[in-house]
Amino acid sequence: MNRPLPEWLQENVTINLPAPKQCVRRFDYLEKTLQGIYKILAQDAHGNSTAGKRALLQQIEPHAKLIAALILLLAAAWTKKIEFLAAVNLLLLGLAAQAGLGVKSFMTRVWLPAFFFSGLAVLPGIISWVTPGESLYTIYSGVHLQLGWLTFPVVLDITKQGVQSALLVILRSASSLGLATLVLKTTRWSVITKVLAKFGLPAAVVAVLDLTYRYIYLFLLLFLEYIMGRRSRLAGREAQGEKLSWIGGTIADFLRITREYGEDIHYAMQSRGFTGEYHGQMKLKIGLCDIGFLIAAAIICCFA
Amino acid sequence: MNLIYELKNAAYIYPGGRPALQDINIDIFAGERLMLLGPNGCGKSTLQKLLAGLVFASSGRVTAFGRPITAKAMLDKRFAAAFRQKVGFVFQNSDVQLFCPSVLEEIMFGPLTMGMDSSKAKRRADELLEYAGITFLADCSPHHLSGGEKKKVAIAAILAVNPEVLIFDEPTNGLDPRSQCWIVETLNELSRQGKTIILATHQLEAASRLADRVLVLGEDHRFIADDLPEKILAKRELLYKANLIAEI
Repeated sequence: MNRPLPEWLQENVTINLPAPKQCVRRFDYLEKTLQGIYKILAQDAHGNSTAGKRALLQQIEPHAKLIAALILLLAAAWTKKIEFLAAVNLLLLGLAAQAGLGVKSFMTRVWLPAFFFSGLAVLPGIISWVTPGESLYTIYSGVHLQLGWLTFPVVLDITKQGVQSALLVILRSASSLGLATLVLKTTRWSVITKVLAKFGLPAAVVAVLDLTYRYIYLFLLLFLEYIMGRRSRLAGREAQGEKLSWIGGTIADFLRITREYGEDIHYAMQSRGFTGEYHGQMKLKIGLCDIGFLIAAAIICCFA
Repeated sequence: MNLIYELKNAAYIYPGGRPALQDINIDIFAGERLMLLGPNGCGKSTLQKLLAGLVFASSGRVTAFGRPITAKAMLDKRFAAAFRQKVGFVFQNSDVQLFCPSVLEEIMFGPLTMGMDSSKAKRRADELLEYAGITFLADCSPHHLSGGEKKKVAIAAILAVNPEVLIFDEPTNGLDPRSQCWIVETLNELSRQGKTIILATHQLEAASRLADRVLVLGEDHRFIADDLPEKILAKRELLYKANLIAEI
């Protein structure tokens, strides 16, 4: 028999629910990032990802696809022909569209980082001070400027050679990023790890990659539940300090949970006969279409 | 009876694109003891989260206390705080809702965030600890407790803000008989005090003990029945169709 409820709990206090006001959404970086990762993993887990679509790249045997990507990657790294790199990038864009990735989404994933990161890094290289050469545009001329020990050139140009080498770097990084994106978006992660195992990646690394992917999904779900659990109990305003201390505490708690899970997973594997050997390989089933794909990739590389 | 919740054609789609709830139409009245019955994965927990304003309908309309419950409305902190004070949600996994360093702080968290002074919040927490018979755990870390103790702390933490609506997700699942008994008695006592209780379970035997209205969710994520517990339990074909019994 339970004790009687506290007196205040026996009272039915009804508070008024005010009409909600229009508020601007605050950007919650942590939750938004986690939701984004969860969405990608959930799509993959339920077969709704682009890897499950019926398109050319998805039909290619994963071993052939990875080999083709690797040789194209090497060709892009080795070549000094801007035209070749531009053509490869155009081809990748076409393949992305055919694979159902969406041109806009592909451009955002590939071209935005290529321009921002590689572009910013090579930007100083286009001026004559860094890369001397044939002038394309004169920024200034006839100016004698000296700041302490630093003497600026009298003429500052944007040079053809500078622009060419900058373009080369940007196109090269875009093609590498594009190839990696295409492989990752058109092949399931579990298949990629198995192919990598075939190519000589140690079984222990493959096991870690496989298990990590699986348990990231699980822990992510758990973490989103943590956020929800806390939100459900916020019956008032919270101080920023309290939120930060909750994040700290939750991270510590997660370390404990992952350690416990890790132990249990290991015991579960042992109980099913795991002795340190991980059988994470898949059979090679190369058909005519895959051979054609490999030959096409090799022919493209000949133009590098 | 006062209408508390009104759901019109509500649906929820998971981020991965899978449907969790489809075409949900229900009215929930103040003081009801409502049980959501359905097999695993039918969307009971999602429906409860929808009612608790933790997730929002992908389509359709969810109204609580006459106000629409939307992501936009919940951006208003004053509205969200008042709503959380009126609706308490006890998760199936107690671990996700226990985040304070000690049991006492855990129970005081709600009253303190709603602006109660600390001595009053402490008094409330002490009374709840005594009610749950866990006063000796006040200074312990919630993560080192047993499953039954964690559940008691989670319930006490929710009761501390004295909500009008209490939502429980599989409250007795995996607990020892004594803890189960405590929870059943607590739910019935709270119901007698006029609280609205909404629980989700897939345990048929709990229906007659804990509810006076049962809603059955089918595997297609839609409601297939809404009736008195004894009437639902008598419909063997319906229970079989809902995957709640193995054979007719």
